Amino acid sequence: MIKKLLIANRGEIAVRVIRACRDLGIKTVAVFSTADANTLAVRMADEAVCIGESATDKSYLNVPNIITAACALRCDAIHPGVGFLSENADFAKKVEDAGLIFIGPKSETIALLGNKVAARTAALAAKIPITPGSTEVLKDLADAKETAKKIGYPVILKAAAGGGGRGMRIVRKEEQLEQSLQIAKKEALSFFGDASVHMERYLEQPRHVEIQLLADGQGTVVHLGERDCSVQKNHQKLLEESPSPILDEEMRKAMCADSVRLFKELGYRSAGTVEFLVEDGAYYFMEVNARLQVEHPVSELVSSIDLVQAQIAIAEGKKLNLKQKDVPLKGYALECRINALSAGKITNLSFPFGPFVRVDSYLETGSVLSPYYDSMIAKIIVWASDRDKGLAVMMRALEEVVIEGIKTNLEEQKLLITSKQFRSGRFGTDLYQKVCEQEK
Amino acid sequence: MDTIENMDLASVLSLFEQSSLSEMELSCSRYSLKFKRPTSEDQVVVSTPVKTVAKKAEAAEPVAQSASEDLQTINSPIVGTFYLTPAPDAPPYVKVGSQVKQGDVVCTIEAMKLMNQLETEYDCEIVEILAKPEALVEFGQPLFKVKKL
Repeated sequence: MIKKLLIANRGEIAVRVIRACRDLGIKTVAVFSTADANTLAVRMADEAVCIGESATDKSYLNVPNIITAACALRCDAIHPGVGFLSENADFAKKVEDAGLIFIGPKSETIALLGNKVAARTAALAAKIPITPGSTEVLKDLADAKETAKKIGYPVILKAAAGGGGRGMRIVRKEEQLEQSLQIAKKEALSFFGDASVHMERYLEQPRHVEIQLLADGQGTVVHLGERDCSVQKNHQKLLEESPSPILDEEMRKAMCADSVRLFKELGYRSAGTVEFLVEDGAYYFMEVNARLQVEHPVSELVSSIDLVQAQIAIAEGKKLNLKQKDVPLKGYALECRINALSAGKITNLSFPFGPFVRVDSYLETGSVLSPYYDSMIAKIIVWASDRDKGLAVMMRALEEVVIEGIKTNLEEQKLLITSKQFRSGRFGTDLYQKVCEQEK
Repeated sequence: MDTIENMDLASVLSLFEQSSLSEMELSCSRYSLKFKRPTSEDQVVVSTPVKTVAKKAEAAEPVAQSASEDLQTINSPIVGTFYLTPAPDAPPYVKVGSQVKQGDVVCTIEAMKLMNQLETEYDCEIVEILAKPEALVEFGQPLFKVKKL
């Protein structure tokens, strides 16, 4: 039984985890940097420990300080939240070595899935379609040329150890290949400490669709349906919805079955996501996010399952007493991320209320949005019986939002949701450029 | 004699006021109380039964500059357990009034089974020991009040 849990994170996700703990009667310890001393998570937690200066490598990535705080305050477990140390196999291992429970997958699973090439190989072994491309690290330029010829241009070079949209290079012609390969390797080395690069076919207008899964590591895996995260700006997600407006029942079933099979073969434990690209009626495995995701509330609203509470129960060694038929997916959910476009003091802040609206945030009037961290101010999530009604509820909610003192993307989000393309459900990952940049 | 349960708040308070205590904590089945005599910044704290520790806000604050110019604090560079002695039965590294040279060890902070010895960055005299031995200290927490020499 977990009686006391430390949250190795900050902001809205720290608040989210504290709320789950309160529901479960678990005591919480918040850790914070000097810049975050006066934030909501620090006030809400039962205890709080300052772990370092503002810069993330001095605080939220400071593994010794975090683990020492957990041990000294007699915690049983650490929840890593999202980002920071949540997909760091080394951290998960150190937490376990300190005699604490890591709320998440086993460290070996995180290590395996962190390598894109290994993840593709695992997907292939589970008979899941992957984007055409190399299944091994590129050996040299000749290997790269041959692979590109086989799969056809445009191709994308990706850092094997990469993620987060970094260390990627699109190559449209063979003449660009040599130089791009050199740059991609250099980027891979400097971002991830590993120069290995692999190659995939580059899809021009894909949809980004992911399957949310829950597994107890004891043989039970269920899915909570998909999330369509195709509305992005510079690879950062802006709107996420479930169900996806472009999947037909057959493709949805196939993607969910594939994902469940992959997690079973991996012996996966905890919550996790399989990300796919969808184009021209086909889907391709992209990667596994071996952690909780920012957009998890979308799946919580359609499935009525609290993912953070489920993660904690699984980490305690409890079996998932669920079969797939016990997870009925109901209605439609949409999440809108409100991001700051400038840092500073929020002089006035008011969030929406009313039927079927959930707001996850950590800020209030008078809060100072720190320039050191993520720019997200709030996630507004709505539920309705269908997509059209859901968009109306979201617009009603966004009209109630008041944020003064800093610049935000609120108006852009309204523009996107009311755009003809988004309403029709037919658009690619370039919707933001088409709607928001043309407006300017 | 009254049991604590039967005393009202006013009489507990007057007991505290008449005593020479600087701090007092009481808990019983009906309530728990914590009194602290006001220092220059503090107010009397009466805590409710639910709230346990009030320490978290104060510890994180940036180190206040002392009124006197040569008084400084030595702050913890890491999170860990604070020890004044190198071993349980050994004499302490420093006492109030000790004069230390730059590079002298003033305490040990244990983190992840490692004993980190904290050295002073300048010659100074220990004026006050601020942290509680064998307790958790957090990043930036003042450990010693010192006078620069």
